[in-house]
Amino acid sequence: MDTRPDDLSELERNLAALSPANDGLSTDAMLFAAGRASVRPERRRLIWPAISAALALLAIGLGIRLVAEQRENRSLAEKLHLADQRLAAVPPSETAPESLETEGPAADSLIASHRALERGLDPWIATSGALPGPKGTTQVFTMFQGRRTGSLIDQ
Amino acid sequence: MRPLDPDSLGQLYRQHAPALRLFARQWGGIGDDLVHDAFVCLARQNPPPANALAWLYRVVRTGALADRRAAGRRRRRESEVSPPEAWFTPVDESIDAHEAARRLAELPLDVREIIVARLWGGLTFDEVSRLVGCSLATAHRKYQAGLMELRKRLEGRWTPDPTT
Repeated sequence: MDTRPDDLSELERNLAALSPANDGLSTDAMLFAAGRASVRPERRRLIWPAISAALALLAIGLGIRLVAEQRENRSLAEKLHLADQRLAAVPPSETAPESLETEGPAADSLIASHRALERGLDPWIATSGALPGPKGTTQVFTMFQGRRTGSLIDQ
Repeated sequence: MRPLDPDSLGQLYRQHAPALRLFARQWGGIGDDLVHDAFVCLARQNPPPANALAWLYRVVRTGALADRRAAGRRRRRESEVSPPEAWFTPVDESIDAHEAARRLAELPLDVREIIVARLWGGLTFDEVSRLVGCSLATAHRKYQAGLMELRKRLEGRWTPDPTT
């Protein structure tokens, strides 16, 4: 390369003598914008970051609460499931509702008399006569029941 | 410390805004907004930077790079790009301003930015190397190589003065 340093210096000088275009550059416009920017209150600039931070905190709080609630629900569901399993493990004979059903209604109750009417009186009288109680009670009770059931006793 | 007063700011703008815009234009685009915003930003610096000129070049370069990365703005720039002919004010000089600008635009960007910052920005090599993020030697080497390339391309359109 046959470039001499002197050539480069002169080229440098000639290039530097070219002045960059300055059309469209307005000092007044820049100073106006700078002035406006300098008086802009700092507080206003902090509003949106503050709102964003508050919303982010709220979202995090709600998220934590949701997770805690879900955990609580899960533990409750597990407890209920265990309770169901325990109930299922108890033998049927020990359960109260089934024993009540097997005993049936009392012999002197209205349900028993209604059932007796449906099935016929003979077995009912035999049953009610076997009821424990003082002597004579059974007969009086039977007559009372008979009157209530209509003319079947009189026959 | 207080921010730059309007007089100093105005003087700095009148003196350096054209070269700063030329520097911004090396990445394409018009460059007006970048220069304007850099000065507005400088006005808000409290305290102002110790080396305001180098600071301005750094801000403009960062903005130009960011603009270039933004795909939307790049597309828009394609229709707004300033022709190199608009880089210099055509005056009666020993070098044709339009031709010089066209040849300058043909150089690689990393060389162009160094030449513009040094020649028209008036930054020292130390400031230029910090600006572009390379060593002092690299900045100097690229500058020299760029000038040699320019000289070759301007061959016939520029003749060195035999007295120098």
